[in-house]
Amino acid sequence: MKKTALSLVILAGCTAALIMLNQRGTSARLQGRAFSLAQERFPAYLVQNTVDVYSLWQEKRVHGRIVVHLGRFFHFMEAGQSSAGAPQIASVVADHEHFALEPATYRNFLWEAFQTDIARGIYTVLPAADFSKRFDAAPTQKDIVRHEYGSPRIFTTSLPTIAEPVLLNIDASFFSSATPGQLVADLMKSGLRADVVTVCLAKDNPDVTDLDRQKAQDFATVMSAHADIVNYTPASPQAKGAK
Amino acid sequence: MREESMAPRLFFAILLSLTVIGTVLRMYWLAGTQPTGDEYYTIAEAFDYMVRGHYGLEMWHHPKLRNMLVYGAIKLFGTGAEGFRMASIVCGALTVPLTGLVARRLTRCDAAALLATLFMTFDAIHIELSRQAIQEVYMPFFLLLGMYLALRYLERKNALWLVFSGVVFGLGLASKWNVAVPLALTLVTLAYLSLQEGGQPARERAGELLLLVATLAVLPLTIYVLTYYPWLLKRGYDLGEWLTTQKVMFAENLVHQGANPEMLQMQDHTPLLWFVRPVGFADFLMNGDDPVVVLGVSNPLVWLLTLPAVGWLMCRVRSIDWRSLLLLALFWCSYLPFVLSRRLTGANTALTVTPFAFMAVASVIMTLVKGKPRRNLYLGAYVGLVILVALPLYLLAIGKGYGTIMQPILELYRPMHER
Repeated sequence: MKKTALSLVILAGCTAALIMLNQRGTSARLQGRAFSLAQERFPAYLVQNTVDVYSLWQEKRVHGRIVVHLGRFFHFMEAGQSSAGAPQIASVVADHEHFALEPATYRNFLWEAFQTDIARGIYTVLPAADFSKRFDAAPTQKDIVRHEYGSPRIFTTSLPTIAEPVLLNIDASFFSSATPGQLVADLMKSGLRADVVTVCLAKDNPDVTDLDRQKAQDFATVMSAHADIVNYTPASPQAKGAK
Repeated sequence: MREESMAPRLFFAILLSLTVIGTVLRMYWLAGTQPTGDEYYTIAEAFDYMVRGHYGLEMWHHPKLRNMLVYGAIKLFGTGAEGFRMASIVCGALTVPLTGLVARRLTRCDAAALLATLFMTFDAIHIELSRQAIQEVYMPFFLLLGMYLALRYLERKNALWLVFSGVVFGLGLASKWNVAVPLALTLVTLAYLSLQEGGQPARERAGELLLLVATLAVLPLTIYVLTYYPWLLKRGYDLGEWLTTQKVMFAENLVHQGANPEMLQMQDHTPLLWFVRPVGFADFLMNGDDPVVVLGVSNPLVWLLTLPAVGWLMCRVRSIDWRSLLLLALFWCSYLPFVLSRRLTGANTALTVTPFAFMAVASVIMTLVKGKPRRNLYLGAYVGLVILVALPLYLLAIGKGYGTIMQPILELYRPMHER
């Protein structure tokens, strides 16, 4: 009888521990008020530079989130180590937060979002032509799932279905093959919910054409039928101290 | 095999002496050495994991207890060589007496237990890895401690032993998944013995089985999951996502080739050869401005006796008791997955198999010399030879072989592009 009682205590304790762990994990996600894009009028930010998207996320203090990024580029180039010369143990220990100390650039802002725990998963929605070219994928293949040391990165050609609110970023580069009207229609049809929606003109990214930027501007105009568009300027560029 | 014991005080005195020797061997000349490349990453990742919840680059496909122990050791003991290696030193040193305590119960022969302990005390690969801040020596430590506690439960029938065993096995799983093999075999053995016990009502047996499942299945798995708390709590993941990442880690484990092709070239990575010829595990570090090669090489007088000893035990499988059967099962079930796996496996991983190999060798040797007129002479000569071979291997293992007469041995492990 004592053994059975002890077993039940262990089983109950283990179950409770796992439930608590799961609950504490999900409660670590920080988000603002979420809007259903198809059903509600939502706020959206028109952002001039790619890195300003990162600054906005920092200002909003979002954390542990799923990012849906629409664009041609990955923005995932790893930043270099900040310490020079042969590493010493003391500097490795002292420098373990170096990711938060190095400024994000248009090359790496999504990588930084991963490193600073703003993002825990990234969906990159690529134009179909770029998807095929980058992954040498068969025409029928629509998704590639990769993991950055255990954290998911999903590459796709269409808006994903995600149960939780996301950070949605529409980069001007996405309009190299998409039309503003079609993308608005797709967004309205999607079941996406988001608390931070950004339309990025990517003026700091030399690989984005002025034509695509103009299309992004047009997209913002079309989308204003469904959203309140706000021009965003970061309070202080690369305001890392916000985190 | 019959029970053969010596005075407990003598047994524990010898066991303690070997533990002291083993500890000294694992700590000598430690402070002077710089970290290996693996250790630099390990230390950085310990902080990345505990502070930010990230898996990081270094062996990200393995469980995460190493990050916690290295982080805790640095916080407690500082950033010196002893500090960041403290968890490995402690686990490595305590594995020595645990080998004896478990062997004593599986072989039922005190002398065999002490002989297995001596093998572990002087094992160059175990010594080398006890001096590095990586997870390899955690495995034999946790699996032996978990088994010891489970075997104590069999003797005393106090359920607390089993609870502690489950916790320890959970920590073993959180070191490397290989510990699942001895955990599963321990659970199966205890369940079998419980069902074999006569005179117990069905309800009692059911209660016993429920206790075994709770303590040796559910509890270790829960402890394992809990070691991921920084990843979940700091990054916002949930258990569904955790399960997905476990699958990704498992897939990587099946094909992992290592991050450094040059390092791969100089390692023995064919488990089939572990007990057929001497094998080694090499690494580089700096001592001041001088390069140091640390090379753990298996002692041929011990390792090469493994397969004959195991074969000998197998030939007598009908007459041996459940303890020796468990020992055989532990050896084969730990060893065969590496042999059959297509991925490259270094000799460092042999540490999950060697405790059982050493026990089998020691057990068979003691059985063979039993009753022989010059038993002590034979044993003394053998032990003397084992130690004699172990001494130069020890110097290689701690990095004192470079530029000495042992240089030719080191040259065998030089990467091809440097030859």
